[in-house]
Amino acid sequence: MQALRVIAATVGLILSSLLMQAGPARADGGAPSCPPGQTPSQIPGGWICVVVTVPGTPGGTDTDPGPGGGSGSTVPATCDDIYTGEEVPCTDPNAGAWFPNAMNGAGCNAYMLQPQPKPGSPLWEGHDPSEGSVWGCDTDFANNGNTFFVPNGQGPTVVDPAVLAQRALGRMKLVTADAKIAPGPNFHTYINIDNWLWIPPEQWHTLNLSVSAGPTTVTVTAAPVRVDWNMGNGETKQCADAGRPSTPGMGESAKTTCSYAYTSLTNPDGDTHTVSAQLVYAVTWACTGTCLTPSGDLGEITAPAGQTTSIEVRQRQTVVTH
Amino acid sequence: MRRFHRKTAAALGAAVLMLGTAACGGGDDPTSDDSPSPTVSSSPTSSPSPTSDAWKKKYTPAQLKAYQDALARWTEYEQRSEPIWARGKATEAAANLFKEYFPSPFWQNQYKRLASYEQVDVKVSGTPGIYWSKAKSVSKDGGSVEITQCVDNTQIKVTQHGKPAKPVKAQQRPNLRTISLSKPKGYDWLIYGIEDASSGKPKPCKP
Repeated sequence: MQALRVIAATVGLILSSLLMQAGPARADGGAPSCPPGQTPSQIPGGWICVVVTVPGTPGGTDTDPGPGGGSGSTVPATCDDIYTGEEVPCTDPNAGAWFPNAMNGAGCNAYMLQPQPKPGSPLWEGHDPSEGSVWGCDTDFANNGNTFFVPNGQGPTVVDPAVLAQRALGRMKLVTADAKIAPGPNFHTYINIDNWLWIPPEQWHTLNLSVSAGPTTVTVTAAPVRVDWNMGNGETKQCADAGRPSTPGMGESAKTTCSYAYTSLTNPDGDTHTVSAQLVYAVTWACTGTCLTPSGDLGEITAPAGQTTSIEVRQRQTVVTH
Repeated sequence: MRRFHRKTAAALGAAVLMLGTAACGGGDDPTSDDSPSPTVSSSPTSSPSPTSDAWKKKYTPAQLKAYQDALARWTEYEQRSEPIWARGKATEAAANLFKEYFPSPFWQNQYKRLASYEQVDVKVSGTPGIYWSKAKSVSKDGGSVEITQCVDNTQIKVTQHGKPAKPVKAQQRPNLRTISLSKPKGYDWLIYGIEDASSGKPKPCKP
């Protein structure tokens, strides 16, 4: 029965669209003739030919027109492509919750607007934000009722994935990088000499963690983007990778991607610095299941430092011979 | 933006356009009164006002400041997005620009529209000439603004497959458009709605 309703609505939508298109074309007489498979459409600036697509059905949802406003309640069990009707990941840009009464009854796949407009905006239709939320169709925007207020309890009862993502990030065990430097604590370096910096290569890897709440699952991905080094002398050094471990027997020509040279001494007899490293991650999230928004970005997160190391810096001695 | 399925996005965008056209309910209205041809060629960077400033009297200075800020933000978007529509390519840079100015899912909608234009080789250059702008509404705290503009769409040049698009009769006259903006906490002004001559029955205006 649901399928029949959906098919009837869709056929009606197609027919009404086609009929209404014929109207302006006849009245204006200026609509261009378009190649097969395309239809005239006007945009600011003139007529263009666009590809004709046959909308599919908004399947996968148990639709039940809501009592108020231009919205309808819906509790989608899965996400479906609005035009093909095929089940798609909820991260798909065409996936969303089907609101049968939106778009002046044509219905649309809609998402909760992120961010929500400020209280007092006409989009709230006079409601207080505590009473519900504002949704928008993913077909086009701002045209004749494709944004609408959804009272609490009448939209999909899902958790904001951004909140879940923050929760997942809180549970994620970020790697505390162990700082390594060459020469190590058992030897010393000199000013203006490049000292190799690295963290164990296995510490440089992408982390994933998923958290679910009801039909919504959010997977947070933290990808290392750099290592922030604290050189112990008040200076920092950023390296775009883990660096290259220094091993005994490496030749003079060996190269590294991460090094640092101390350029001065505070103690003429030599300084000893404690060196630490912190991994910096770029954190993103993707939602699967029932999603208000498909993906998001939590920005960069700096992990705590792990084991420190130390380095002694000395002034190179000059030997004068006569 | 690679995750967007280009074909699907384009198809959706095309359907959007189809619906948009349908929503016009007649597109051109041959019975409408003829308005004078545009004689003012206003740059979108200017902030022309309606002939009377009487509308300002209903707002406080703070609300008028909010209106000016929102208008500046909208103008900035039009200027920055113009090269993107003129190029007609759904690139990651375009998506990033839309993200700056629209909430989700509207920035995605803009991207899908651009992808649909790319599919049918449509390029839109220029911006409408603006005869005047005024506030249609400003919320009490100045956090949301609706702007009404009387615009000259003939300054927009549309080509498809390199050929100029046929002009739309109703767009040869000055028309009203409404832009809704809001400034949620922690964000700059975002565009929550654009209603122009292509998204409803044309509303002629007097320059």
